[in-house]
Amino acid sequence: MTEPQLPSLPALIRQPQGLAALSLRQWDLLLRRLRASNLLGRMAVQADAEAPVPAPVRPHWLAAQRLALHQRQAIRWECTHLAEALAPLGIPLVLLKGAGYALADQPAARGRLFGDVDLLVPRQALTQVEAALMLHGWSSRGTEAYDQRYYREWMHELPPMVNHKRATVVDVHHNILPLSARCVPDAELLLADSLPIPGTPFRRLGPCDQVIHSATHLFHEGELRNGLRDLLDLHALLTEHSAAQADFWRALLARAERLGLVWPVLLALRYTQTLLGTPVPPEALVEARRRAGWGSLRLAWMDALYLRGLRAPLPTELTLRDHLAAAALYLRAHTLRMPLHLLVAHLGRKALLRLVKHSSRST
Amino acid sequence: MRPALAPERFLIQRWPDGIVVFDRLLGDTHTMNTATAALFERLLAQPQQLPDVAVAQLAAEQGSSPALWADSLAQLGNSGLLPRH
Amino acid sequence: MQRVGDLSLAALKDGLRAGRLGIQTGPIWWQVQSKLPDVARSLHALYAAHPCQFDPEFADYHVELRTPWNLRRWLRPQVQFYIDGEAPFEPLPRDQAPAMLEWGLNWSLAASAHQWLNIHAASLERNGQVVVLPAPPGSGKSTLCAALALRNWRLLSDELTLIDPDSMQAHALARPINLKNASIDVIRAFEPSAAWAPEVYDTTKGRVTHLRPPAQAVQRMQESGTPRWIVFPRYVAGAEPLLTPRSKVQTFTHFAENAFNYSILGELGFATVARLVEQCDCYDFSYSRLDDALEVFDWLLNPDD
Repeated sequence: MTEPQLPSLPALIRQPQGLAALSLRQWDLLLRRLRASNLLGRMAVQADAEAPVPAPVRPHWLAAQRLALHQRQAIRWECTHLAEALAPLGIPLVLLKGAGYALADQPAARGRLFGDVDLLVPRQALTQVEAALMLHGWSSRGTEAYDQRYYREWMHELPPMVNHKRATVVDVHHNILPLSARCVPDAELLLADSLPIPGTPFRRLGPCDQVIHSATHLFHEGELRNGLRDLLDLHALLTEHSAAQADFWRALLARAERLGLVWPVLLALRYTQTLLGTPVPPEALVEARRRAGWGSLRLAWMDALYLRGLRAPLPTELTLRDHLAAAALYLRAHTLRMPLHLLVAHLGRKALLRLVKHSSRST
Repeated sequence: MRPALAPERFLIQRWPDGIVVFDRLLGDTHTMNTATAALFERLLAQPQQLPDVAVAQLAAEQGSSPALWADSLAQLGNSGLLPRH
Repeated sequence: MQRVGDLSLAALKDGLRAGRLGIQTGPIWWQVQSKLPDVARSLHALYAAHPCQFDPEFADYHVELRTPWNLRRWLRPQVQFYIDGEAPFEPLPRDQAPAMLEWGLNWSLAASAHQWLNIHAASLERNGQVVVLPAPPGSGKSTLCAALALRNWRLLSDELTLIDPDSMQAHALARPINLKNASIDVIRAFEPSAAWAPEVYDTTKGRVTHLRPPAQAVQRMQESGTPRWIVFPRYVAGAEPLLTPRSKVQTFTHFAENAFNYSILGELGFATVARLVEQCDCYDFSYSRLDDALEVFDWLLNPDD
C-alpha cells in the first residue's frame, strides 16, 4: 500500500482549513511529518480553533498543546533565573531567537518548541558573564576538553552553560556568527539597535536584525531538521514587522547590506514567499537579488539544495537526490563557518570519536 | 530581581504532615514540613512583614523558641521564597 | 475483532515485514514494522490476545525494529528501535530485539503521551479500584506485579501507569511484564503455566525476559479504574509482611521526581499528583513471601474482615 497523498506541510500551514478535508489515513501521515519536523505544537496551537480534529487525533493534539505550553512557560522561568544572575552586571542582555520572541510575546513564539536560551552580550563582558553564571549554578563542566577548546579558542565562544539544578542550557554569544565565518557582522551595530523587552531586564534585536539573524542562522545550518520551523519563524517575523513599519522592506535590505548579510535575507524572502505565501513585495525580491549580486545559476543551485528539504519530508520519504542535497548542504554550512584547514581537522576528529564510541559499547 | 511573594503565585496542597507548593512564576515544586509551612503561609499572608518578625510571632503563639525555626528560615531562603526587603 | 493469535505466524511475519500490521494496547494503536523473525515470534506469543488490524487507517505510533546500518552489521550484530524514522536509543545486541521493542514502546508513551500523567509505576485493578506500585529498580515491584496479575488482580501496566488528569482514571495497556534475574525463577515457580519470551542476557541488566499478560487483562484492557491505593513495595529477604502508612507529602515528592512528564504538565502535573495522592491511601510495604503479599493486598480490599 502506498502512502496516501497529502498536501505538503507548507501548503497546510498556509491554509489550515485544508485540515478539515483530511482522511484519517492522511492525518496519520501528517502527524508523523509534523513530529519529525518539530511542528506538531505549532500546528496544534495555531490551527485548533479553525478546524476540529477527528477523535483519534485529539489526544495527540492535546499532548502537543500541553508540551508547547510547557516550553513557553519553561523559557520564561529560565529567563527569570537568568535575570537574577545577570541583571546586576549592568550590561546589555539581548535574547536571541525563540527566547526573544517568547519574552517579547511575538507571534513567532506561538506553539513553538524552544531549546537552549541564546544570549548576545558584548564581547568584553564574556568573562564576567561566565563568572556570574557559575556563581548561580551554571557550568560548562559537561563539555569535553576538546569541545571546550573548539568553542573558546577556535570559535571564540563560551561553551554551552548547563544549569546543574534544572539541566537547562544557555548559549552565550558575542556575535551571531562565529568569528571564523566568512561574513561576520559588526556586533556593536546589533547591540546598538536592540530594543528593551518591557517588564524584564532583557533586550531583543531590532526588527530588521531579528529577520537577518533568523535568516543567517537558517541558511548557515548544516541540516534542515528544523528548516521549516525556522522558515515559519521568518514568515511570522516578516508579517509582524512589515505590518508595524511602513518602510520595513527598504529598511531590511539596507540593514542587511550594512551588516554584510544580504544573501541570507534574499533566500529568506524567496523561500517564505514561495512556500508560505508571505506577502513579500516583488520590488523587495528584485532589490535583494541586486544587492546580493547573485545570478540565476547560483539561485538555481540554492533552490536545489533547499526547496525540497524545507518542505520537511519524513526521513523515510527521502530520495537519493534529497540525500545528495543534504550532503552538499552539510558541507556548504561547514565551509561557511570555518576555513577549510580547520574544518578538515574538526570533522576528522568528530568522525573518529563516533567510530570509537560505537565500537566500544560492550555486548 | 527576586519576584514578589504573592498568594496567586502559588498552588498549595496541605496534608497533616506538611504541604507541597507549586511556584507558578518559576516552575519550582517545594515540599515543607509543618513548621516551615506555617512560616511560609504566614509570610504569604503578610508579605510586608520581616521574616524574623514572623518567626518571633509564630514562636510566641506556639510557646516555642525562635531558634527552632532556623532550619525553616534557611530552607525558605535557599528556595528563594523569602520576601526581599 | 481479529487478534494477533488468530493469525498464523507466517501471516504475522508478512504483515510485520511490510510494516502493515497494527496492534492495539489499551487506548493506543501501534503500527509495527520488522523483518526480524524473533520479533515476529515474540509478538505472536506475548501479544496473542491483543487486537490487531492490517493497514489500520490510523495508528498512534509507527515503530520499527531493524539492524542498523553500521560497521557492526556483520561482526557483532545489533538491533535498533525507530519511531517515525528516528532512533531515540543506542543500539542493543541483536538477541535483545523483542525486549527492545517493549522498552521502545514504553519510551514512546513516556516521552510524548501528555494527554495523561505518566508515572513510572505498576498498576492493577480489582473491583474497579486500582493499586499503584511505584518503586525504584531492585525493590521487587515487578515480581509483585506479576504475582498479583497472575492471581486475582487485573493488570493495567507493569511499568507505565497512565492517569487521565480530568477523570483521574488509570488506563490499561495490558502489555507483557518485564522481569529480570531471580524474579524470573520466582514467578516460574509461582505459576508454572505462564507463557514467556525466550530469556536474553544483558551485561548491565543480567537475565531479562517478558511474561505474557493474562488473557483476561487483555480482554478487559479498555476498562479503566479509579486509583485507590499507592503502595511502595520493598523486598526484604526473610521479612514478615509489614504494611505501614506512608506520608502523603513524601509520596507526592516521589511522584514529582519520578513521573515522566510531571514537569511538562506544569501546574496540571502538580494538581494531578496532588489529587492522586489525596484520593489514595498511601503505604510502604515490605515482604519476602509472595503469598504473604497476596494476603495483604486482599486485606486492602476488605480491611474490615
